[in-house]
This record gives sequence, structure tokens and C-alpha cells, in this order.
Amino acid sequence: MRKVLQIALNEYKRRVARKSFILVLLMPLIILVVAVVVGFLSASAAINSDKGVIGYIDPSNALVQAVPPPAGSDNTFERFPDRAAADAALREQKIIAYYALAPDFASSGKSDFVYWQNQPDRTVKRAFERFARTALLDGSNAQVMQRLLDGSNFTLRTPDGSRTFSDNDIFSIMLPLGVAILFIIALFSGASYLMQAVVDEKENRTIEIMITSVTPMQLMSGKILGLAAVGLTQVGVWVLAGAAAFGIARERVEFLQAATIDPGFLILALVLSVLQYLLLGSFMAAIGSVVLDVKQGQSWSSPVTLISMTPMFFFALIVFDPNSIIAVILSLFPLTAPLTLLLRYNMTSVPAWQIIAAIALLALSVVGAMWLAARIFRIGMLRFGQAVKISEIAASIRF
Amino acid sequence: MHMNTSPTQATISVSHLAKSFGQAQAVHDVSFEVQRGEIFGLLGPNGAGKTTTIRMILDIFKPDRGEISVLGGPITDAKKEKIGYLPEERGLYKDLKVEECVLYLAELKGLSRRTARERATAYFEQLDLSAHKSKKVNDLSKGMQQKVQVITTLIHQPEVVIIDEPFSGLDPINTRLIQDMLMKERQRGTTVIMSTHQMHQVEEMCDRIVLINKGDSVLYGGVDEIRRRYADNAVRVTVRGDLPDFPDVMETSRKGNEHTLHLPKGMPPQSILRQLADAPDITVEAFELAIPTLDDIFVRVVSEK
Repeated sequence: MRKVLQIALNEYKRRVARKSFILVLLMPLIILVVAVVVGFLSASAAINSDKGVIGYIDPSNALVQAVPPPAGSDNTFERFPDRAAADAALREQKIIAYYALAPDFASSGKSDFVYWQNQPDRTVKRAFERFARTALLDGSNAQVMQRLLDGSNFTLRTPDGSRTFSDNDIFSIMLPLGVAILFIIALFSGASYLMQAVVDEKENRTIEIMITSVTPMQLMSGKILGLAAVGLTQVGVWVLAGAAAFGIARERVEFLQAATIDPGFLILALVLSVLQYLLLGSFMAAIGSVVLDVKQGQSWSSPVTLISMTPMFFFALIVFDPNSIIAVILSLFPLTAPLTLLLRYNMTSVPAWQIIAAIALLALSVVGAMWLAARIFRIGMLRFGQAVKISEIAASIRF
Repeated sequence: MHMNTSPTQATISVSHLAKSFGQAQAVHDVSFEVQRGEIFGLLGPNGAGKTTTIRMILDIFKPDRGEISVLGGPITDAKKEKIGYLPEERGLYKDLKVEECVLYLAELKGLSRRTARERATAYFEQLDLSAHKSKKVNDLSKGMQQKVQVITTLIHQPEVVIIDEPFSGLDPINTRLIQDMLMKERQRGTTVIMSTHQMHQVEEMCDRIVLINKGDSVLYGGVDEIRRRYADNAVRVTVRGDLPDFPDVMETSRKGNEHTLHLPKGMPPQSILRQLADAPDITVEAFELAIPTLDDIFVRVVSEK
């Protein structure tokens, strides 16, 4: 075990010290900062153009009963006798837009929306619709009126009460998608680091010294562990940055305020990531040991990568019909299980047996793949400048 | 030259080893024993099967046939820590600093970081590398990298050192340095197996050798004994003046003032010496039995096959 840790530590130090790693680490942070800055700038620009007075022309007196919005609202409403008066106000920028209601507005709801140069945001439309709707209510009971205007918000609960899904919780859809993307980037970059590390060992010709000092299994485990730590560092920094951004955004963005993160989801994501990494890592290490260079390794590893990505191709199906047979099969197949389960988790209550079976199958595959990788490694590692044939790989597995 | 004849248990024993890769038979039938505390030469032309034999001893390859015993039995992971190996394909982590690389490889051989650092410092001093220990391996010359490689082979004070072409890429001064280090290892009781093409190094350093050709061990024994075994009845003389006629001599060849005289079977070399002493007008500068060099024997054995 000591040797495994020494190999892991060495691998970690060598990888993290590289400039390319620091660049990869900072890239999402830079993107995040740019996105936040651009978002704030455009949001404040939008706010400036959408605040103000909205005019309306109401020939049939449909909105006489309408209740003006409370003081301090972004928009107030002013009635104009005809289009000429409204146009004049618009030109003088006293109003940001006006609605010209049709004479049969009460029954048809038809109106023209007129604005000066820049089309106002949807919030303007929503504010006017709300104002117009108040005219249809008698206004005697403010609470009832408020309730009707706000509409319903259903919360779904599982029978045991452990999970809830809310209509307003867009976060439930965003989170698994976000985690899935993070998951893919971290896993595949981690696994490809591993392939590089094995190819490096061949290119440096250090492999022969290594395998007379440690067993292939120790070498592999050390590398897998060290590069997992590299991946964790990478994702850890991103997640911390993401959490910080979330904390900041939460105060400003309405839908995030209702968002909660289920700790069960995080634990599942962690367990699945570790297992999936070990599985992919074993494949990548075996591939690294039989190829001549990183480029050849990438083409050999593309089928593995492609299969692991399958859940993304079925994204819509998994998210909108999370209990379909395809979703269940993809949840159980070791290479696709982690991504599928993470995508399904917040969309449905995944039966416990499926989670347990998926983790068990994945763990078994990890053991098998590591054993296989160590075998293949044994024949591949000493081949310099000469690729290994499939038949030789098959023979080594029998050996 | 001295030969270890004490009947101790062999440190390494290889018996009727065979190994094929697909259709190619790399090793056909190789047997030898290496005694404790000797420098043993593993010789043979390119592609003879030396490296494959070494890799089988080190358990990198499993033999198809034959027996291998290392330090009194089959090789184990614990025994690997008692072996120092300098492979034919040299390898160091090029992106690491020299010291870091040495310490890492030493730790993998079971040394504590502290011991590794102490020994590394001493070796850097001895091999004139102290000023370079913070450089990246990649920034060192080939010769310096070779010295670092030797340090990684010896730093854990192994009982057995297996070393493939240790002098390639070294200038005469560094060759002498490494040679002295290996001789010191032998004094410490270390068993050294050295695979090389440089026959004069073998003559100077090795106690015994095995010559492998086309996967078979074709010559095996003490260096002196083999040279005597391959010696014809001949003498080499260096004289000033004209060499007299020797009626009994079968054949004479000349290189400058050095003459090689091939004598008939049973004729003692002393009779030539006596005749030379009696001959007028010549001065004998050197007189020796014409024992063939290992180089000669190597070429002769390999081309005979």
C-alpha cells in the first residue's frame, strides 16, 4: 500500500505542477466570471429600458375597474384618449410603450402593442396583463385576488415524504444537467490523463524499472489513485467556485431561492463518479499500455468514450420519461449507469433496487476491468515502436 | 583475474530456459549459474536472447520452459527489492528534477526518504553530479543521465545487480568511475550480472561468463579458463633484429615487431625461448603464451555456429 501511495503522490505532483493543468483549472472560472459580468451588465441594461410608464388606449372602458400596481413597482399605467396622444407621449419618451386595446377587448383580448425603437422585455407584457386581469375581478377581497393572479404551485411528494418536486423548481432540471456535464468533463479528462500517464511511462522507458520495483497492480492502482486526486482537485475547485457563484446568484435570481440540493443526490454522484472513474481508468490504462502514442490511444479509446456518453444522446428520453425501459437498461449497464442515474434522480423516484444493482454491477466491473488491465499491461508495456495485436491481447487474458 | 570456485549455493540459477514470442524463438536453451559475490558476464551478439533471459530472471516474462532460481528460490516481490536493475532501454522521468527522480525510484525499492536522500547526496558527490541535482533530467547530457541511472540501480544496496551495457555512452573517465563502483559492489559481496559487448571490460572485470548465441548458451565458465581452453600451442614474441628460422614452427605471422609462432602439438614453448636466447644479434623484448582475447573467442564461437 505504501508503494501505491508513493506512486499516487508522484503522479499527482507531476501532473498538478504542469502549466496545462493550471490552465484547465482556471478555464471554467474565467468563463464563469465573464458570464457573470456579461449577465449583470445585460440585466442592468434591460432593467433600465423596461422600467417606466406604460400607456394604454381603452375605447370600450374595459380597464376602468383595473387596480393600479402598488407604489414602487417597476411599471405604472396611464390612459390616453387616442393613438395620437399616445404616440406623442412615446415620442417624448414619457412612456416606454403603449397598448391600443381593440373595441371588443373584453371578449377578444385583442390589442396592439406599440413601442419606440427597442422592444421592451417580457416583464412589461406580464405587468400589463396582470393589470388588465385585475379589471375582471371585483377587487373586494385582496387576498383572493392575489391568489388568483399568482396561479397555483403544486408540490409533489413521494409517499415516504423524503423527496419533493415543485413546479417552480427549475433547479431540479438544471442541477442534474450541470452535474452531468461536470461529471463528463472531469471523468473523461481524468481517464485520458491516465492513458497519457501510461504512455508517458513507455515513452520515458521507465516502465521496466517500475515493474521490477512494484507489481503491475500496484503501479496501476497508484496511477489511478493519483490521477483521481488530480480530477478531484479539478472538480473540487470548480464546485467551490460554482457554490460561491450560486451563493451570490441566489440573492438576485428568484427561482434559485426555492432551490435545495438533496444530500442523497450528492452522495450518489460521488459514489458513482469514483466507480465510473475506476472503470474508465482501467480501460484507459490498458489501452495506454498497448498503443504507441497518445494519438493512437485516443482513437482506441473512442468506442469506450462513446458508449459512456450514450445517456447524453438519450437525454430527452431519460429526463421526460425517466422510468422507460431504455432509461432502466442504461441505468444498469456499468458504463452508462452513472450518467443515467444522475439524470434520472431528480426527475423521478428511482427504485432503490435499481440504484443498488447499478452500483453492485459497476463495482464488479471495476474489479474485472482492473484485473484485465493488469494482464494486458503485462504484454503491452515492453513494446516500444511496435503495436500489440488483438490476438496477443486475447492470449494474455487466457494466460 | 580470479575465479570463484567455492561450491556455494548459486545466487542465480538458470536451467534450460526457453521462450518464444509467436513464431520467433528468442531463447532456446540457456543454462548457467551465478555465484554470490562474482561479476558474471552475459555475452552474445545482438538478438542472441540476453535481454529476454534477463527479463525472465526478473519475472517480467514467464519462461515457456526451464527453471529459474533467484536468491535460493522463485522470485518474489520481496526479492525484487534486493535486485538493482539497469535496463537496456534506459529510463528516467525526464520532467522530474534529478534528485526527485532518484528519491522516488529509491523509495519504490523500499528505502525511507531520509536514507534515500543521504545516499543520493553521497552518490552525487562521488559522481560529480551535486551541481546538477536540481536540474530536470531532460536537461542533463546523455552521459550524466547514465550516471543518474547507475545511482538508481545501486542506491538501495541490492544483493544482486543486473546491468545491461553499463558503459554505453560514457567517456573513458566516467567509464572508469562506474567500473570502480561495480568493483566496490563486488567487494561488498554484491553479485553482479553484466551484459555487454565490450570484451576488454569483460576481461578486466568478469570472473565468469556465459556466451549466448541464437538462444543457446554456447560457452560457459571462468574467463581465464575459457581463454586457456581456446589457446592454440603458440607463443607471441617481440624482438629487435631478424627473427631466426625455427624449423619446427608450423606457421609464423607478423605484426610490426610482434611475431606469433604456432607450435606443433606437444612442443614446449620453452624450447623457442631457449633458441631465441641463443640466437645472435637479436634482443627479446617480450615473450608470452599466445592466449586468445575474449574478442577472438567471441568471433570464433559465433561464426562457427
